[in-house]
Amino acid sequence: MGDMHGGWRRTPTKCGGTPAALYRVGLAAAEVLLVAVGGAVGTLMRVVPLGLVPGHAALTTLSVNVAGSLAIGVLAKALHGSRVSKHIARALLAGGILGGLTTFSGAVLEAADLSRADALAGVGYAFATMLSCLAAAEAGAWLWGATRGADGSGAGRSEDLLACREELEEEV
Amino acid sequence: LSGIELALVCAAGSLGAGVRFGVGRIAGSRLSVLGATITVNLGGCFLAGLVTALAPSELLNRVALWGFCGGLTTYSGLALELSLLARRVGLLRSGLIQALAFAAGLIALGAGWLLGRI
Repeated sequence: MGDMHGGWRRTPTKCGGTPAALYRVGLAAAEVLLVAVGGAVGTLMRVVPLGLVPGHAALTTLSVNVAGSLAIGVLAKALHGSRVSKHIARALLAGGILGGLTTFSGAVLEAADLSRADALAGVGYAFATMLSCLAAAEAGAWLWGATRGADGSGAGRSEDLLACREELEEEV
Repeated sequence: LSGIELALVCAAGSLGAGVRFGVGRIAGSRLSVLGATITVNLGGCFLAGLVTALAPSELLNRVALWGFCGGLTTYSGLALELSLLARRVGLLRSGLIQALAFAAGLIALGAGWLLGRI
């Protein structure tokens, strides 16, 4: 009888552990799937302009990088306090679409390519990319706060971007 | 780019994005998110250099460079992390880290290219 009791007492912890682990695995699988789908969409959004305007790969790459950086600034602010699942939004939009749209290797490759003809052009391209992408991320976050403020809802204006990210990280 | 080529490039981009996410999840707890992002980006640059030197075929080039490396590496993630870092350490230091990451990217590209030439 005593053994049975011990057995019963052990069971709940076993049962309690398994669904939680399953949930984590399922969530990770769903996130990877969303990132993969988003990655394909983002890549398409980058490759179609690259194919449509051949010979202007450097400018196209810079444009998609700036656009993606602007969008992620907006997204980071927009997700703060929203009811959308952070896991889904982060995997599909940030990790997938925007991650697939923007490219670091492409920017570095274009800078190297430009510098073969003119070293100064390569350096200029590198600095143009760095400055405009960082500025775009900041502008995106500001833009969301400013437009929400103008709406009268006021949401997001006073909140710092860092607080938004910490909220995202807490969910991991 | 034909339809089938476009599909191949996008599939490679999808794979690259998945690898980036996986590496971020595994390395993100040890490195910071910024560290993981830079690591993945440098890996993508190395691979891009390698592919450029090997120059298999026009199609494989695009699948590897535009597709896989493009999906693997990210500028939006880097920009967000740098803009968050700027709030802690200031815009100047954050910008300096970006410049170092970019320079490291050029070195990784060159290293990959040299390896491909051997």
